[in-house]
Amino acid sequence: MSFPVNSVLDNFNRTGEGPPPTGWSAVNATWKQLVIPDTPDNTYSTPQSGSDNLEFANFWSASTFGPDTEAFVTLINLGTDDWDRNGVILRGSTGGSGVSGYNIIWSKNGTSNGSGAALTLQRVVNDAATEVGTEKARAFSSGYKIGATVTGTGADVTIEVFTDEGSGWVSRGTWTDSDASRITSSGYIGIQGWEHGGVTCRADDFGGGDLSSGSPQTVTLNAANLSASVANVQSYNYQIVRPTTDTSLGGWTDQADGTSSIYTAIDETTASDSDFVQSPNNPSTSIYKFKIGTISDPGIHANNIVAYRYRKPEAVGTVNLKVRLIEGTTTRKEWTHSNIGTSWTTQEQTLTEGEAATITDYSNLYLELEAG
Amino acid sequence: MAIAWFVVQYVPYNDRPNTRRLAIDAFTRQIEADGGSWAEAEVLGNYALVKVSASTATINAIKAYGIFPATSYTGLDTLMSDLSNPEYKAIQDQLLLMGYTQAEINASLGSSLTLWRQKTFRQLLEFAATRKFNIRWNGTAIVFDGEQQVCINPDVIDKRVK
Repeated sequence: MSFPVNSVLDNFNRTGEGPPPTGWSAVNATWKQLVIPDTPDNTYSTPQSGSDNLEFANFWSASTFGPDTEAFVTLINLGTDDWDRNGVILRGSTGGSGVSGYNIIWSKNGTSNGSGAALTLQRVVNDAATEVGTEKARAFSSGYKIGATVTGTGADVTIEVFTDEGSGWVSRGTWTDSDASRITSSGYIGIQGWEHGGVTCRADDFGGGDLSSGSPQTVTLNAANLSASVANVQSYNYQIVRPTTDTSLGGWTDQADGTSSIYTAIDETTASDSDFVQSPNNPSTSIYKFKIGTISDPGIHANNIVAYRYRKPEAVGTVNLKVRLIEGTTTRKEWTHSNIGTSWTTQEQTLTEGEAATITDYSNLYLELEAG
Repeated sequence: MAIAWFVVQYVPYNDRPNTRRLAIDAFTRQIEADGGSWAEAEVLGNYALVKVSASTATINAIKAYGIFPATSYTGLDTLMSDLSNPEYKAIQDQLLLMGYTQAEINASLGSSLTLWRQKTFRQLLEFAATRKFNIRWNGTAIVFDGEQQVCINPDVIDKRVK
């Protein structure tokens, strides 16, 4: 899945608006709102510098989206207090009982003071927020971007968080919300956070929208020197997973012959052939195994897709490629590509319902690339 | 990797009383450093059932922390045939604290240690996850006066944490 699939909605390249700025609406009468400063700096900020315990939020008011949506924003700072945080809202709504929605936020010091910055999911229901699952430790620097998708309207709602820390968007993990209070309706996207201690939170370039409005989703996983592939798994409710961990290299490297976390060469959200993994020269049963992210059990067995791209870099010799979908140590499906060519070839393999039904633990899936 | 189930209370963020988190989050970094994880099912009374996978040292550290009641059982289908009387009393006290009545407890799990020993750990967890109530912020505190809701089945959490 590419992230994001929508464009920037507000670049804040204007001065002296708000609260709220044009195009934004308040979420309730209590929470503070954004302003665009009088001094041109092309960012939004929270309005009351110096205030403590300041919760701020606004919805992008032009439209509701979804239910499957995304949002993203560039963060200039997170504030100064341990509890300060800043991020995006998905499936936001207001009603007689208060604000609801998902906040996906980058907090200055996680939920434990002194523990370092972290990505956190909060489910807001009736103005009350509950942190869902575990925070994801992630250091922050000015200019980093945070974004998220929310998918699913059934028993499980999946929220995937992304960051762009200067090298493109990378998934930092998912949360699955199965609680009875999970939010399944379409809603607003927006910006939310806290600030404290006198430093105004600032951010830039907010965007998002419907996931379905974007282009088709693929992730490239290249394997030059003989093969290249793309790996992602799409389930019926459009959960997407990418490589998350090297399990065993089998002589494979990244495009720079590196051997450390080579999965990061193939986990981009936007397909790119500029980085890839590659087998050894003249491979013989060289197997690279890597883990892919966790998706919640879709509950049905249709439209489980494994997609990948491959090639060999030169028209020399014969190279065969096998791609296996593995649960734990059990092969659930294997695809063989004999005597692969030098042009990029994309494969989208759809599991039969019978094959998909053999998967019992969607948190324990791996892909193997065997060159020989 | 060791496994343990805890009953964990939600606590407010520091000076952000409309936002709550599970107190076990203080151990998240340590759990993840072990290669472990945790997952939760909110239950009655501002509590959650939390399954943790972590090193034995971390599990022991969480237990030693002292604020999260734990059981000695890990497998859901384990018969609680060796349940001790102190643990039986402690679990009952926790269920009462969460908001279940003694009559409910007796009806589902039995009214004596002997009867409890004929139940599985799954039956205990499923009783603890009988119901909860939706929340709202009343301007001063998070209150639990919304509609009654079903809880996430402990079996779901059991499968999410290996």
